[in-house]
Amino acid sequence: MFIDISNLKKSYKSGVVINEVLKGIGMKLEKGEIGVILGPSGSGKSTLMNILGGIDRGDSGRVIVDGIEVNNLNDDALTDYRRGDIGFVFQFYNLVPNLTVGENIEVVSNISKSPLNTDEVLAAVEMQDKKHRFPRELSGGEQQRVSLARAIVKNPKLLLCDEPTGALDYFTSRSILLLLQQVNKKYGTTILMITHNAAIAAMANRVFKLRSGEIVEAAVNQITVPAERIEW
Amino acid sequence: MVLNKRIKRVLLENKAQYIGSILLIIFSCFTFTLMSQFAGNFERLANEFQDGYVQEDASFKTDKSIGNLQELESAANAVIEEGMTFDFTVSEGETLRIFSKNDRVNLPAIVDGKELSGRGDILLSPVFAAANEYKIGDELTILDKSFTVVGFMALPNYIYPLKSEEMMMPLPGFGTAVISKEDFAAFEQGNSFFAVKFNNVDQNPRAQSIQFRELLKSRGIDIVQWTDIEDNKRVNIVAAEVDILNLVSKGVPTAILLLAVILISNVIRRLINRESVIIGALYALGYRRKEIYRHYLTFPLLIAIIGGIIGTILGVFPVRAMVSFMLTAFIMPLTGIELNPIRMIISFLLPILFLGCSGYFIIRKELRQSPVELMRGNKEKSKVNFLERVLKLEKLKFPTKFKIREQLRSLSRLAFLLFGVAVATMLLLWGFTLKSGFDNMLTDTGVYTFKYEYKFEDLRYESLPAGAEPFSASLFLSEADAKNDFYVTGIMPDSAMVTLVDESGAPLSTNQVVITKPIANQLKLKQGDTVDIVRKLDGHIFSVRIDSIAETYVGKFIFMPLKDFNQKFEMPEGSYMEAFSNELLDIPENQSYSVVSLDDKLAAVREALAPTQSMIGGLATIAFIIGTIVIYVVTSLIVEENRNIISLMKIFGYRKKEINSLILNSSTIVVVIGYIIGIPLTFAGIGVLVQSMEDSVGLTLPPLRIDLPYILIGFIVVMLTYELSKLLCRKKVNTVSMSEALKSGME
Ligand SMILES: Nc1ncnc2c1ncn2[C@@H]1O[C@H](COP(=O)(O)OP(=O)(O)OP(=O)(O)O)[C@@H](O)[C@H]1O
Ligand SMILES: [Mg+2]
Repeated sequence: MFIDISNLKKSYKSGVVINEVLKGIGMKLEKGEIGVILGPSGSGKSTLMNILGGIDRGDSGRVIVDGIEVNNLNDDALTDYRRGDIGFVFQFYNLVPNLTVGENIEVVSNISKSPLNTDEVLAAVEMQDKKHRFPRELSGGEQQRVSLARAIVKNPKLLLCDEPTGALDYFTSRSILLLLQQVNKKYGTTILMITHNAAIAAMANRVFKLRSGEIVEAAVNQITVPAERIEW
Repeated sequence: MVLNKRIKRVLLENKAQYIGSILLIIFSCFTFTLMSQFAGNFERLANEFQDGYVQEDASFKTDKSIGNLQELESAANAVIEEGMTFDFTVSEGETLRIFSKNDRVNLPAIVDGKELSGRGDILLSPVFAAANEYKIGDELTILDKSFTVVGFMALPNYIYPLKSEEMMMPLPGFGTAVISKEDFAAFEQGNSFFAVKFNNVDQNPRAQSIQFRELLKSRGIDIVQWTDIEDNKRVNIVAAEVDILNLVSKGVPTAILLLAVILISNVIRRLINRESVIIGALYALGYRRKEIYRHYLTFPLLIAIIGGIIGTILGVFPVRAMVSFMLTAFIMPLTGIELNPIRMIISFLLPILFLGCSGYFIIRKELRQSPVELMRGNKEKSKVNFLERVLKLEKLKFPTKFKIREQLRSLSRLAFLLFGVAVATMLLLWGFTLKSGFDNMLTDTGVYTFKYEYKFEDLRYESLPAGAEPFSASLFLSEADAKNDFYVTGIMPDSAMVTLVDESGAPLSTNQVVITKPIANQLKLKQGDTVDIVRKLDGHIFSVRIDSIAETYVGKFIFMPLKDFNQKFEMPEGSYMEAFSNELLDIPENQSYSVVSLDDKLAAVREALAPTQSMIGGLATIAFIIGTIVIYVVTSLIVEENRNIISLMKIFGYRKKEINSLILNSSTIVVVIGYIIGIPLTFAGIGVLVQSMEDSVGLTLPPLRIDLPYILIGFIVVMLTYELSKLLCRKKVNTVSMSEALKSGME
């Protein structure tokens, strides 16, 4: 198992009120698979993903990613874990506005041991001709492509995408999903993606439905649909 | 207005920036108030003293006594008083110049104690008394007569108590004393001199002085020495000091104020940008433009008012102490401190005016957008300026690229950092330059190799023992420049006492006409030039050919062989007026003379160094504080603006060290450049000061240089402030959490 989560719990305390966000999550994903997490707002999707990505910590339970017990790592080890193994794609792209497209990608390759070539990843997301543009001169979809290029330049083991198409229109969303699928094929990257859009689940190997901090359904798709054929 | 409830919260949220701004305003108002009130009081005290105690317009000596003074007075429309003086050596290194008390010109002003009331009373200069531990009531024996110190006094013609006019610094062991005319007469010795004060206040004293000399000449009275008050270094240095104080009191506070203006403009622009969405919403809710303007103007005005009040009030307190301190060098009565209300108001209003105007323009510029544009918000944040766009950085390594982009991102922030570091550097190096100058003065005595300098009252012909050399000197002016005088000095050919070198350091023979560099510069003379010079005493014009130029800055001198000197200036053959000597000379009783030792001169310089040292300490402290404020504010601005990137970097797995290096170290180059820019600016600033010294006292300083060690020390100090600011900001970087980037989109 590449990802193996069992009985993961997480709660937030605000004053006297304790808010149990994750109530004993269990979840598995094989290497090279695409997983999709579905669920209503506030159900704990991002919290779960942040713990997986080493940004946050669970209170109890086991989180194993490629043999590493993420929940037991100290701060420095967590930093190394994020640095080496994890790629992030955010809903709002989070590009650095005063760096060019190429430089935004270098932010990550700068600290990677064996990064891919910047031009190669830009070509992979079809953005090679915009290398010297600044983010504000790009459309949302283009910015998300850059964000994707930035995530894969370090050739991560696990690519975490929190609503990568949340801010994009239908066609742009589809092109991003297509790219994700291509990355998955080309580099064998395991991808876990959060979405509100149930239709997207069709392209995943596994689908997890989350409600109020519990996995209410975990389905395995024997046949995955290519992104360009997904419609909603 | 409800909006105003926010003010306190906003101020607290960005404490560093607002406290930094207030501190800069406080500094600016403090220095302005202190320096300008100090300069004003110093000038006023000097004027009151010079007018109230009838300072002479000129002093002179004649070859014979003047018969009918009263008749001469009415003919010249002047008050003339004859005074008597001699130097009395109280003990080794302690000399009193004793004067008979004048009644009409150069009146002694009582600083402490009582007036002379009868015979046996003596008044001392307070500085001499303090340095040599005399108190009122003490007894003092002068030539077997006993005197009682009844008070301390200041003489209007000895404000800066130089022993001889060639000296630059007063000697601690030299002072003036005044006794009654009767007591003086009883000594049956001393020289007579005249002090003249012209009655016609409408006419230029110098012009009256020339007329007066003509008058004396027409009566067959020969003047052997003449000094206009404007040329009297014991007095005109006061004017120079006032000039310098006025210059500093304007320059330093203005620089700091400008710094504060740039800082506040930056802070306000950022505040509005950050809040543009709220502002747009407020507009949409029906708030008026005026109300929003007023709200945002509160910030700069509040800072200006708080800083202005605190700084101005703080600046008032040390004025009296500063004036008192000054009066230990310049002997004048301290009648009281008056605060000039106009300068107080200027000190208070200037920051309000500066910050108010700059604030208004910034706010107007930022709020010109429509509510819709404002609500869309954050446009400014992702704007890319011209420099960022044209820069081709591809070849550089990522960290270098990142740092350059970081600095160029906000040009006003960059300007503030550069300017701030340059100002701090200037303050720092200014102090160090002064110290360097003094250090050099202490060691740069290579020109003179004698120990004592004798000055005889009458021409002398006797031959001198081995180890002594005769010389003569008179003051001259150039035809072109009637203000700055210089000495023409006749010395022994192949003198062992005066060693001169040329530009290459090779020794120059004194068997020719050699001029020193300062005067060559002043008169723009080259080797082989011929120059017409005017003898100050009588206005006769002589022409002199320059054989060589000596690379020395000890003073303005034209050296020539004594024989040629006597011949050219119609002095008796074989005569001389002064002597250099390595030993104390045995001079017959009946010849009056004065003697200065070179060691005394050095002691004076060292004495003068002590307060300079503390001033340098003060300047360095101010420089350190300003440097820290500026660098800290900029660094915290950088952290503030980069919260998102810092958060992102943390997510991407950057280590603390790497983030600190990218974000905090991005200013290093700018700080270094600011320091480098500060160096020539320091010299330019000092150049202005030196020029004003030259213009008012005719004092030429050697080309000022800062010794390399001081440049390094200055650099270390500036880098220390940088490291300190980085240390303070490191915590800020650490507190940025990863969730910040997760929650917000940057574009
Ligand atoms: N730092 C925090 N402190 C307190 N409560 C938090 C914190 N982060 C998340 N929560 C709470 O945890 C719950 C789950 O949040 P989470 O962001 O995981 O939801 P989500 O499923 O990603 O929702 P969305 O689809 O809206 O992004 C929410 O109720 C939220 O209020
Ligand atoms: Mg979420």
